[in-house]
Amino acid sequence: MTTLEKVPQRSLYRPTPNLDVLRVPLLGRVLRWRWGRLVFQLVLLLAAIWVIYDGWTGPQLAPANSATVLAWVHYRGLVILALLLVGNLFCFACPFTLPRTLARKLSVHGRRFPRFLRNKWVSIAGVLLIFWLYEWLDLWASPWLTAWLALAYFVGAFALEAIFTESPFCKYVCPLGAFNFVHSMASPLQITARDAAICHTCVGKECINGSSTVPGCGTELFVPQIDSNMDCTLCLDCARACPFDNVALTPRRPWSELYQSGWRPRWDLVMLVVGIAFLGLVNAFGMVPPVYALQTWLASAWGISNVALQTLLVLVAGALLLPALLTVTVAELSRRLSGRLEQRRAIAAAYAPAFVPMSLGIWLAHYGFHLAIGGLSIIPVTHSFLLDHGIAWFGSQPNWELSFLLPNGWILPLQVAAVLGGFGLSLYVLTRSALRRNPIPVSALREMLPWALMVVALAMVALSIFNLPMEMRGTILGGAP
Amino acid sequence: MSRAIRLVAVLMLGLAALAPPMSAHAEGPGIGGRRVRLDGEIAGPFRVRVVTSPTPVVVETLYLEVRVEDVSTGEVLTDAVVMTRAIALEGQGASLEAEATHDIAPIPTEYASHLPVPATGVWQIEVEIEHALGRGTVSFRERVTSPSSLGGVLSVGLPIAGFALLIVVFLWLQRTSPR
Repeated sequence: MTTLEKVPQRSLYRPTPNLDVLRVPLLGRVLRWRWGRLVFQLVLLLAAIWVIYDGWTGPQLAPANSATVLAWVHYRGLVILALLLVGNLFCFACPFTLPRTLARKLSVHGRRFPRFLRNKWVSIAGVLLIFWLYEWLDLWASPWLTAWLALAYFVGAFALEAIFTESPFCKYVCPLGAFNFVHSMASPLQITARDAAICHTCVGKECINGSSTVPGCGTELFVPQIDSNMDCTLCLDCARACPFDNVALTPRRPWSELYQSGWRPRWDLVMLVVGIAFLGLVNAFGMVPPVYALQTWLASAWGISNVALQTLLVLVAGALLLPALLTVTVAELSRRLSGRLEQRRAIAAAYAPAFVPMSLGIWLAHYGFHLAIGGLSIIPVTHSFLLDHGIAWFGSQPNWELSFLLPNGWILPLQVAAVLGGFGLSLYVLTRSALRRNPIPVSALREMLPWALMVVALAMVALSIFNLPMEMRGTILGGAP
Repeated sequence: MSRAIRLVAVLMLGLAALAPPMSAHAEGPGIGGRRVRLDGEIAGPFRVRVVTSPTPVVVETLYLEVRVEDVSTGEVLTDAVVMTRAIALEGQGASLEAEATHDIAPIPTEYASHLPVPATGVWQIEVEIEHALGRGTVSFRERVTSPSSLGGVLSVGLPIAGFALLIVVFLWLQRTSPR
């Protein structure tokens, strides 16, 4: 085994702020305006109130209720498109953090989130919990439970904001935030300092500490040191608080962070990224017919007929144990093939970001499918909601034929394109990461080979799952394809 | 190292074993994409809602869920006889008929049936209701499609081709890199 003398040091990746979205006429002013975020949050707050109200009082048929249609078709499809095309827009307009001001007034200031929980393990548990509840309780089919889930988010965010000084809900707990953080690493926008020298001489560090009128970064990111979109909610409080107007929201090459930015060797970050990619497969697998064969087998071979337990087993095995086992094994293999005397978690941290494009492709193929099939369904659902409340502005009969955003024949090719696009970009990121660590191509290939095989396996399984007829849960479908 | 390689190989094969597309069968009404086809439709003394699944409807898998209300009182009627029919308007498929019952209905007060439409094309779906209050019929058209698939060879072959391309790129880089 050979040992390389020099291990590449962690570097800061920052895009050059050639173009600043915060200086685009009108849009920039709105975004930097003190209440700019609030406007967008209020829009989503109204949507959340509608979800909760209709979920509790409306028809308990999923495809006819805005709670299930908005939450499971539109939110999921739009959030993944936003991450791909712009950035973490949902966290930017997140309504769950709106009661923050009230919570902070009620809070016992000074208490920090427990140190042992300041990592991504709670987020990983939260993501698994949400998906377990989703599959076990068929949340997609229950407007009533979907409404309760939305309310639970408000209560959770409020409680944690009231108890702790920073924003632990966003950074350490929120499953939606964890999903968005991971995929925003491949987004085309990033916060950065316009001039690092100004930050160097800044005394107040208002971007993180806050000013007299604007809070500092809730997830405690210091602008000149931001080298990743991980943990950035895009709230833009840093830009509003900066007394020197030195914060920029700038375009970058979407995938560059994944191979240019060195991660701290942390298993929690690695498992969050790899686990969410695998979860994409498990979630899609839960919607295709073979899952019923698996459930039957669990019942007959192991006597496990309880659906909650069955779902938990599939989820933990597929989205936690399998990726964990594979990641550790592949990291060890990679280490041995390269001959490096490096910790497994350090190698894993170097290559785990390459799973982000693959994950994005899988989730886009899945959530994009639902949006493509049921995107227009919100029109008759809204119409029906208005009619139920005595408002007949648009006639007395909803047009239930409206549903498809795209022709049915386009959907499988687009799903395949999403998976293959993610797969290709993952291989590209792996290649760049490997060549960055190993200047000699053959050495780089040896080190990245196990990771590339893991990505190949993911792509094969993803393509096979999307080949199967996927359940179209919680949507209205009317127009003939 | 050989043990580690074997372990990885077994895991990879395990994953790859999932890859060939498996035959798919819907497991009942409501499990697939439900689609409200008729809502508040008046049929004689009844107000009817019809939901289909899955989506898109493919050969052999059309489920219907029918909700029947007394149009004058709004009461949900659970003691009606509900017959469902599929009549081919194009293509060669033979017509089908099945009684919708509570047995397989996801919502217990509704009626559900399975119509295994045998061919692609446009089908006329009819729902006939018989009850002490009278009789009523509603109908709509449904397009039945064939399942689309990338195919097992491509599902496995495309990622392998990508991997092979990666190896070629590295070999080329190795050949062209300064020694």
